[in-house]
Amino acid sequence: MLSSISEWFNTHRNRWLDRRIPASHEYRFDLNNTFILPTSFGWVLIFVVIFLFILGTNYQNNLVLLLSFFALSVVLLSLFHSFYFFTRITIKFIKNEELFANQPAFLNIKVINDSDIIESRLYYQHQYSQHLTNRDRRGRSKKSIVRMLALKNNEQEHQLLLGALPRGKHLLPRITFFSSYPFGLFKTWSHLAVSDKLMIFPEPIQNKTLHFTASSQKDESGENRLLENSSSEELQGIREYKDEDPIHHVSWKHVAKGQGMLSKDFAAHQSSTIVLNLSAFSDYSLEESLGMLCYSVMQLSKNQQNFGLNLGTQQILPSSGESHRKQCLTALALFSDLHSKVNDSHIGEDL
Amino acid sequence: MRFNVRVVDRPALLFLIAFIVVTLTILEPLMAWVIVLIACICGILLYKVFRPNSKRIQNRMLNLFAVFCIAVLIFFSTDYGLLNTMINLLMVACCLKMINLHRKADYQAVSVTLMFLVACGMIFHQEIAFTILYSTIICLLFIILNSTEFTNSTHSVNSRFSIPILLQAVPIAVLLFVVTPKLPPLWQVPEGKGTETGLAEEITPGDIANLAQSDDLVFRAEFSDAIPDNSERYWRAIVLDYFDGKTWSIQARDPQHYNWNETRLGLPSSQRYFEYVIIAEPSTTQWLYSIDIPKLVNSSNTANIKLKSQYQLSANTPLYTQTLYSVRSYPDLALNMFNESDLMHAYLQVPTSGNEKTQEWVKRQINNDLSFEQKIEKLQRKFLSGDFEYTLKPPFMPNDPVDRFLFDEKKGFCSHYASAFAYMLRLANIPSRLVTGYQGGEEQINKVISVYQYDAHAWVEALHPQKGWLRFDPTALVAPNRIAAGLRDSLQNQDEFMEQNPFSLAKLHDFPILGELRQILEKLDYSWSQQVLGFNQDTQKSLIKNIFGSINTRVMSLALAIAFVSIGVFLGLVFAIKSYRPRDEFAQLNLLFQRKISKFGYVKEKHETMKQLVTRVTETNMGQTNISARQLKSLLEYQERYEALIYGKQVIEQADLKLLKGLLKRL
Repeated sequence: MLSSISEWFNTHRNRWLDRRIPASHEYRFDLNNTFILPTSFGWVLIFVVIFLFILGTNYQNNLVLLLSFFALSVVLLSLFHSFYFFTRITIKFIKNEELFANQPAFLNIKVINDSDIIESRLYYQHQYSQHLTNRDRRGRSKKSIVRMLALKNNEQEHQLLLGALPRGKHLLPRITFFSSYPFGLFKTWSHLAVSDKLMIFPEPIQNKTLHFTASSQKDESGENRLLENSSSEELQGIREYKDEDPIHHVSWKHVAKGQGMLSKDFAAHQSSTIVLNLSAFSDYSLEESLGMLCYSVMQLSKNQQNFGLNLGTQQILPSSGESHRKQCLTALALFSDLHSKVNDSHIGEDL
Repeated sequence: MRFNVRVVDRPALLFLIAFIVVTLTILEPLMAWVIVLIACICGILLYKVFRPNSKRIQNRMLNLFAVFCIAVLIFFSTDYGLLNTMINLLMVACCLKMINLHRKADYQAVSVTLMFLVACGMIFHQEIAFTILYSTIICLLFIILNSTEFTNSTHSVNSRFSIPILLQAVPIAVLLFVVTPKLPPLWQVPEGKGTETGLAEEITPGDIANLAQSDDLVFRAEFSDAIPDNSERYWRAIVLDYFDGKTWSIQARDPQHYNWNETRLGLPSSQRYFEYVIIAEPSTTQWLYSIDIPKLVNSSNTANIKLKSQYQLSANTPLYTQTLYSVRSYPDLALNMFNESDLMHAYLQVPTSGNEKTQEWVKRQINNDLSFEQKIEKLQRKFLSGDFEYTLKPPFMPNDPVDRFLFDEKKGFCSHYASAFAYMLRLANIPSRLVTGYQGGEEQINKVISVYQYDAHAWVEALHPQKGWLRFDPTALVAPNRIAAGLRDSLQNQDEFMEQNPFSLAKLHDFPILGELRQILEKLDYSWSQQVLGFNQDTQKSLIKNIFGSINTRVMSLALAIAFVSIGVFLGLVFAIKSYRPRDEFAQLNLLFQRKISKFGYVKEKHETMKQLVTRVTETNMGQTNISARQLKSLLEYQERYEALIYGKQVIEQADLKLLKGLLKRL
């Protein structure tokens, strides 16, 4: 009953927030997206003001009255100073590094401070949504402290700690930034939304099956059901055209230049092209197999090997290079096996 | 044991210092065991301050101990008074809380507790020196609170950002204070002061001698025109009628209060009077001070102060706080205004036993045929003949004190003389009573007379059948200097003055510079009392009347509205000034550059880049002398660095900008 009420409340709140603070890459805190309320200490001080006023009136003591008015004016001024301080801050979400599941995820931000208040604290916090329920099922948020080192007109890069997340493409919940400068009387906060979805690749799990060297794979073909050999050649140099060379090996650029018929010299590629296959990991759970595949992808890319990826429903042709690696990793991250619904439901309970 | 000064936990140290200072100012209401406890805990805290990483004391233990202390305090609370118990409670809570200062909430709790303690201190001490001290402590509390919001070091305290805010708060606070209507006390409050200094409603002759050791201020009187001279400065406070052989007290209490009117009495306009304003310090009784016969001036505290049938002024409640009232006194009027025929028996009352010698002596000397004046003269001769001494340290006379005083010791203070004389008068069938109050007072520069506890005095009034109550001061017979010049000059043994109070400022009277300094301090304190502390409902009303011309709710609400508007304007100004800062440092730099260049007669054209401009300047300047070679060099250097920054560096720092500015300045 209560949970449905809180759910209803949450959806409405999110909708309202989406209207008021739409997602963006860069936020400058201002009247539209900042909220301010007294903290509990602020309420305490207001109570102190009232109490001192009563005390001063009863004893007809002007000094105590002055003290109560002084505290009241400090509270009042603190309201404006808190707001002023908070609205001097700009937050930019910048490019992220690659993030993997079950490892502490970071979000890179750049913080620009326009005021001359240096070394003050800016806090942030976020709510774990249903999909991101990881450690904490009840959706309690973890609070972390960002130390803000801010000089005049200076920018600083920080990393927001998001905790460990499962693999996949996640729409991050709103991140709350707040501060209670100067006296801890008022809390100014804002809920910022990251516009891009966060891609979390599966956690690389080291496995020996793909641990290979640059030498020929023919020796290990007995063990490897994963690998399919296909020929590939590597350009080694230019040599004179010999009659038995195939026509497509001719370097026509040189012919056009008038340097005569020269053919490209290909060296036999030492290692064979590998195609990573998901079905080979049927012994392991989906996540583990994806993790191992991920590790393989990373290793192969590091060694600049050609490789391809076969995930049953999806296939990526062998290639190499940075974009190919990203493509593979993305495919792994987004892979959802429709046949193994059983596996999916374990995601929540596993951890 | 080496103390590493660099690792001092400064917020905790500052809290500790503030706490100790506040404790020292309100030592009186604290119970003895509380003081001991506080001393021990302060020792612990001092150790913790210099060793910030020492082991942490468990919270649970502290909480248990705190509960125990609170229970003990509550047990004692009923006979100790509400305010004093509260102060003890706050003290214990504060120092226990200071032991574990780790989270922000701990700092906040200590700050709030210290704020309450400072408020309690302000109830006890309102002099300007204490006010300055307490204000510094409050500012310190806010500075410490501010430092919890910084990260550079948990152990340091930076006041740079909080002081402007605190200074901005002062005018707002003052404005609110002046404008907010002063309410009367909402309910009956518990007693303010814990100690019993000052005149009481029961006097044993030795008491006033004790009082003479105190140099506390009792009240100040500012006169508008004429100032009475010393012999006229008899400030009436308490009138006592019941004598039990040793102690005088009050039995005849007349609940009624009286008013009198100059015109109804048919006083001539030339009737001499003194007009003055009194600011009375808090005291334990409700009696106020005045010169006979007082008449309250209408605009002052008339609601709370009444004139009694014995010509004293009385407030409704004991004086918890400073009280201001204005009086007009007619010293030449006869004290026969009110009919007290039903109190005659009280004024002739004598104790049934004791002091036999005095009784016999009076019976021998006086018979009822003698007239009033003759009786008085005979009794006064007793003091003039014998070798009586006026001293602050009379011998201890527990049994038959009047006998011992009159016939054996013959040494005493004003109250001894007065008590003996009043008793003798009663024995001689003359209605008489004892009046205690103050006599004399120190005259300050601005027609202000300051009266201290050592000016306390007791004298006698005897009822003449026609003339009414007449004052007789036996002290004047024995030590006329006391009346003419004050206590100090009258003591045969000068060392007795302020003997128990060696640091008393009153002793400085003889030294010229220090004496003047004391006068200046007095004056400052008096202005402070009058302006700030005496700012009550009437003063506020008169102030508003002066500004707005009339007094009614509309005007008051208008004043409030204006106050809020001006606060808003003030805030706006503060933040407008803050925002006005050229955002783009480069734009500022460019402006400066163009200004410098134009001084040499060159103007940057629209399509020109800086490089082109600089080349133009250098080329066309060849041979001319309005730009020196050094300046040209700076110009070139500036251009190089500027371009390097703009097109090269990712993050531009203050140092670079400063360098560029410096280069420009050299032009």
